[in-house]
Amino acid sequence: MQTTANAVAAMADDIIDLTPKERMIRKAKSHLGFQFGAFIVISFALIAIFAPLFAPHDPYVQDLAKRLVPPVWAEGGSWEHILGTDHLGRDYLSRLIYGARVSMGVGFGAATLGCIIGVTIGLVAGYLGGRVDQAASFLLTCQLALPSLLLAMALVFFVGSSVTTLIVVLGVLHWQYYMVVTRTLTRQIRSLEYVSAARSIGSNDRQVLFYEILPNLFNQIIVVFSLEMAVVIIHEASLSFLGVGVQPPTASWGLMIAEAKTMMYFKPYLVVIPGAALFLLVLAVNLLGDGIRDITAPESRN
Amino acid sequence: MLKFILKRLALGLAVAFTVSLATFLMLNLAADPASMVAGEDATQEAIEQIRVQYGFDRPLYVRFFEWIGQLVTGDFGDSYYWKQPVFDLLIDRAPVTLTLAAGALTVTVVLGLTLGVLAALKPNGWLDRFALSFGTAAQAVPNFWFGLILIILLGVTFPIFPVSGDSTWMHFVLPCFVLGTSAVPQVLRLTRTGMIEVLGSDYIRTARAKGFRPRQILFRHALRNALLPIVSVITIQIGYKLGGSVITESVFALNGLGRLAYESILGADIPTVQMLVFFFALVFIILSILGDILNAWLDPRMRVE
Repeated sequence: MQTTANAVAAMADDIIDLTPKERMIRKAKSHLGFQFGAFIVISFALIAIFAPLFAPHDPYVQDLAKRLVPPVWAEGGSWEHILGTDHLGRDYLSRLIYGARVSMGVGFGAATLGCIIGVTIGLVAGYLGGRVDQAASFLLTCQLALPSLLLAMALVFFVGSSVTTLIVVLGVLHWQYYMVVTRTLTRQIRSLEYVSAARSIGSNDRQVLFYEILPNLFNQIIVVFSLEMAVVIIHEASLSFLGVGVQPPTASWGLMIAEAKTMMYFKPYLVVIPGAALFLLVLAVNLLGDGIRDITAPESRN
Repeated sequence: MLKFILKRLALGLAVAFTVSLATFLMLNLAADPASMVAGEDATQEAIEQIRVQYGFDRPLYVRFFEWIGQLVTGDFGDSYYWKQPVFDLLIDRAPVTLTLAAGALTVTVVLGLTLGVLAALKPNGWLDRFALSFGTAAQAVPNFWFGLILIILLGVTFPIFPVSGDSTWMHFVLPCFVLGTSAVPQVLRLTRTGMIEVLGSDYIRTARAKGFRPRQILFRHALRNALLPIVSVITIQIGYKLGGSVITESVFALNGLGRLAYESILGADIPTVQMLVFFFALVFIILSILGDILNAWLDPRMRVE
């Protein structure tokens, strides 16, 4: 049924002759993964930005009289603390909401920094070719050989753990895929006719790179961005879990799991909840990236 | 072929040198090594004393070439934190990590190849959908959290496996599974794409027409060619497994290189940390050279740049 419907839709497309934008919207409307991913990512982003509005309690206020209150669905839970409280009596839901700030902030910041580095190297290498390209490939081979998680751990800890350090270190260590994608595409595009046309009317290299080539890489870069953001979010959580990332009392999902680790046998939900949030966010970011790739892929005409 | 191998070796050597330089600079410039070794409450005097005692007062390039000298001669210097030769530490801890990496790689290859082949048999069928969904989900699960959940479920609720330590092979089952599944999605997708492409090719149709049994076609004709790109992915994965051992070994309290790296970082033990970073990078470099050579041997087209 589905294939028949698709075939009919494709035929209709040809008759009506939709603009590329309309085509994309149509594809987006039928792409479940994209919709789910976009919904979750936008929700988490809003929650992160407006955390003080969403959080029912102050995530840092300790109440030792109310330690380890179970969540509302368990015996002894109440609507006062929907997800219960942690070992210091802090409201778990509020900490979870503030934790979204760290994950989203580090994920977005580090992915942006990596993007700037990788796209710049990729553009220059792909456009100039020759020696410069060889040097860039060599740099790439070296970066790929480095154990990035281990190096990130050491650098963050040595420099001094903070959100800024995490963003800079993770960003500097995650530019490879941007570079590979940008370089390959730039090499393909630079020999196209419209680029020669731009050059023949007197555009210089900088103009060609920024106004002719870069805008055409946008879709693919966004896809890499989402995949890298997912990786960086997991790395931040891992580092915080091991105690070399975000420092207490800041709420980070990795740190919450680390703090709950000693109690995981009799209070497993303290480990399950922040991990589930992490899983959901990373899954959504990946689905969003896959979705954008599917939607922006040029129409294959049979 | 010999020329190809020599070229790859020269490139590997250059990469190894650059990586050692980058590692050395990053780790030694990230913080003042003397005050890190001295600890937080140390007086300025104590810091200066350590600076002279450990030789941190000498220029950076002198210390770098001293380290290169250590790398070449195999005398890796002494650890500040463990108070013993770094070389002995590496030899002590390596077997656990190698066992973990080998086990994890087996899990990755077996699960990834099986699911990939099954998915490719009927693209868009229910098995294919299941495999792809599994891949997407597995990619989103944080390793350390997955480890903890397995410890709660299989170590405590249904106590089947020991969850901490490395004394028997049973101790390695959960860590290998955790570290192994994280790489399944990549191998799965690559196998699936490769198999779909190969199964649709002319020579497979010819083989079918000639009346070979499906099983024979699948394993003898199709899989062999689909495996080519997977060889290089697997060599890269071994490198990642070593790096990923930091987390898995900490969660399951395995006394391997990853845990050594973690404890050395916390102990501000720069000689051990930089040796481990370089060692993991070197293993990666050697494996990718071997992967290239293996690929060139399997497929002569790869020998041409």
